[in-house]
Amino acid sequence: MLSASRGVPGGSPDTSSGLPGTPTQYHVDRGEGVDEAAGSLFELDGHSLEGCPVVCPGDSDALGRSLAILSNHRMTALVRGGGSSLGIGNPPGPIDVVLETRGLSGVTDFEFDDGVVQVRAGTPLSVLRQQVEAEGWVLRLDPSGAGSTVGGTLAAAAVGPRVLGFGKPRDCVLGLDVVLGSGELTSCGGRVVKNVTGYDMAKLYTGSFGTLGVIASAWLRLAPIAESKQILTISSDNFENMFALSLEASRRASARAAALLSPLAAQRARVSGADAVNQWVLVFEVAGDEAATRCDADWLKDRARASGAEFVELVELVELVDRVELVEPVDRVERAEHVEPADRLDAQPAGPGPVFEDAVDRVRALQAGTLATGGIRARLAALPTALCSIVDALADSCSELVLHPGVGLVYAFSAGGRQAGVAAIDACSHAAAKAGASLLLEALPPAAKIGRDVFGEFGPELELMRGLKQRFDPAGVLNPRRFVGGI
Amino acid sequence: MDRVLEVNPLDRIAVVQPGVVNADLSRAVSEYGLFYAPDPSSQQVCTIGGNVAENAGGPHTLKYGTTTNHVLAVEMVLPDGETVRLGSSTNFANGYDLVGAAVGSEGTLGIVTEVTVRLTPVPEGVETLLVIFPDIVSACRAVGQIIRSGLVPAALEVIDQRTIRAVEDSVYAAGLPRDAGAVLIAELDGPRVSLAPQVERIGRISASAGASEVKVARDEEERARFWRARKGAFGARGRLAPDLYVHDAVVPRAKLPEILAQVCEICDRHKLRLSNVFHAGDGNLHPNISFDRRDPDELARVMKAGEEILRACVAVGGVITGEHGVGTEKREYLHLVFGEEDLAAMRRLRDVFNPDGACNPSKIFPTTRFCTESDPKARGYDQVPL
Repeated sequence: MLSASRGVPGGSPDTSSGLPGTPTQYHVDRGEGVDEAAGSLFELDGHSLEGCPVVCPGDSDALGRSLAILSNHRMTALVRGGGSSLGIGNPPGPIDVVLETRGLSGVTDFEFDDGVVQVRAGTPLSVLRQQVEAEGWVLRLDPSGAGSTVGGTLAAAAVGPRVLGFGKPRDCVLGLDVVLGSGELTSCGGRVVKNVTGYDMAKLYTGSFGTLGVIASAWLRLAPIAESKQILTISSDNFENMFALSLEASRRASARAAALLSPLAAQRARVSGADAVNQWVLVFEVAGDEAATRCDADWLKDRARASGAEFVELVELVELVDRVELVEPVDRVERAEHVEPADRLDAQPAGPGPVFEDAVDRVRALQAGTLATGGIRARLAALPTALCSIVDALADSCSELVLHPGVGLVYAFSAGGRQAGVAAIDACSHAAAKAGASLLLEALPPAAKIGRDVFGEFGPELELMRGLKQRFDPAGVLNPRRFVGGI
Repeated sequence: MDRVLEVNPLDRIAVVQPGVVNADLSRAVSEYGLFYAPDPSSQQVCTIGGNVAENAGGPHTLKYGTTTNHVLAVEMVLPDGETVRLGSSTNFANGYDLVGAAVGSEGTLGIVTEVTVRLTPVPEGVETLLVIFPDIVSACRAVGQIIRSGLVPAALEVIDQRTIRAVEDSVYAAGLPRDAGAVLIAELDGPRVSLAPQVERIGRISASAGASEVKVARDEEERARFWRARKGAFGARGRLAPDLYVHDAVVPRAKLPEILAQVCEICDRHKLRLSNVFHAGDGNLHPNISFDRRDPDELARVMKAGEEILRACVAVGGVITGEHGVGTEKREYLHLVFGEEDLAAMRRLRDVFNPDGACNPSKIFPTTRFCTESDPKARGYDQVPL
């Protein structure tokens, strides 16, 4: 599948010559024993990548040299971390190399007393999560793609069900090392939790889909591990009641996730009960100190009963971590003993082994996929009070919906197909326009992307964005044409 | 441009003009059980537009974040006169995060003419503690231990002895113990069921760090008294000398004991009157040097000490400004934190919005080209009128 070789296909400059510590190069070949993770490399939105060299820098300097060479030779690169967000974007322009970040891996600094960590961009979130949880912290990144890396998650500003409690990726980034499209290595921000030293460049790079620079490493702010966590799942066939309850639940102090799934979505996510026909399901997670989580869980139970909603009995692991504080006259307070990763709900071991999943994990997995090959997944972002009208507008064309009322997000799914797909896209576009919502067409079949900007329409601010692209990546090396307005 | 244009309590957002005073915004939305969370100490006079320009913080940044975490969208007039809208009231705008880049840009990208902000529910309960320590280092040690324990207080503010005595001699007198080495104001807010255990934990942590006494405000009046001491600290220093040089460096919280000791040594060595009141929970120091600008020798020592303080903070992983911004005063120290490539990237951002340098051309960026020329004295800093 990936065969190591030196040099590049005939006719192209040898990008490996004369450089100490040249990044290892591969070519993308079809072959036996295809690595599933690499399968997405073979093509992207109808653009074949077979035979395309894969450059895998081992450190920031090699990354800088690689990009400088590409820039000097006016070559283009598709940047790939874990590949989980690779499908989001407009069809790419011609791609000369695939630039992988998995060689930039590992934690470089962990200030466990302060709750901040510096990590290289190619580090899988699952690996980082284990390391920080061992010291009593949690990662405030919860993207919906399996195998996500730190850099990819930040570049795509990828969110998952816990965006309610964790915030968006931009909210936990303290500083970044970024290699620009022209090959220069730059730093922004820092390791401290409050900083107005110069421009907040990290905000610019986060969510830029790798079109201004490649994130090499990041300083991230962590959150304390919760003393207590519960997940409650309730269902009802009354959407209006369930929406109101979900919105109110999402505003409870310890709410970390509040996802409202349409009946078919709930069945596919396996969060429905046995008699689940026409049942909307709320997956509600509370996390925090024991008193607050118990209070909020009890509140939901009381409200659910009062509204006639049913509790869904799921095989669920409820985690309670007793916080034992050893108060000694030393500089460091010992954290509670942590539960071994294999027994924890939301820790995913880096290697082979059992993976425990809870209802929130299943919602996350659902949000990362589509109903079928060629299916459509759209993300609409609106004010919370506009979500009901969006649900009404999409009822006929999108068979599954996942709502996050607390943050104003709707994920809409359609199985696609020629007419049904067009109808779903049109319905999403109209619903977004009417509700003043942002629309991101996260998953579309390649043919549906032609002539369409999956990021929607923009006003005069698009010229500012073009100006940024021109200055940060003047040779147009990075992810050509994938971003807003064909940037 | 000083009007609150829209309040949407159901979606918890408001649209305001930049001249709205920070505290007035919170007052305007209080009837809905909401408030605007960023609370600079100057909130009775500072405006939302200024807050956006500086990415303003305040004592409650520890829990609630800074301005950038509460601004969803802005309308901005660019230097060429064009009006653009950056961000989205939905909080999930597609494209580059231009509103994130604009917040904290100190007026160098354009002029903000409208701001959409996120509103926060008023917490159910509040507990405010005043903790007495024998010295400032033990107070900072307690702060580090509180952070390490996993607690997230709403605020952790430290006041040193010199400041306490200045406050108690002033109209802001709050009954603080004059012989205390330092006091820590710790505020907790959230569900009432959570507060008592957290108060107890802070008490135990503080005792283990050497606190001699922990007072919990019995009522709103006492809570206000604790905070009056903090918020009157800067004004009270007017009793010490006619001028005050306020630094704004930030260090990792775990480095607070170490850096406070260094700051004290630097000022002692330069024979300067140092007092400290700061946002310890964020690691945001405010070493304040009282002096008289009419004494050129003292002025020179103040500038020299200031540079040493900044260098010491950066050396332990800190930065030169946490909330006051770079402006013109700290632009020559930017080289302590960033290299030329880093500043060049920032200039690229600026040049997209402000290619002709029409907006605040003297702000943020150093006037020097080489980092070796960052000596303030070489720039005539000791001659700069204050």
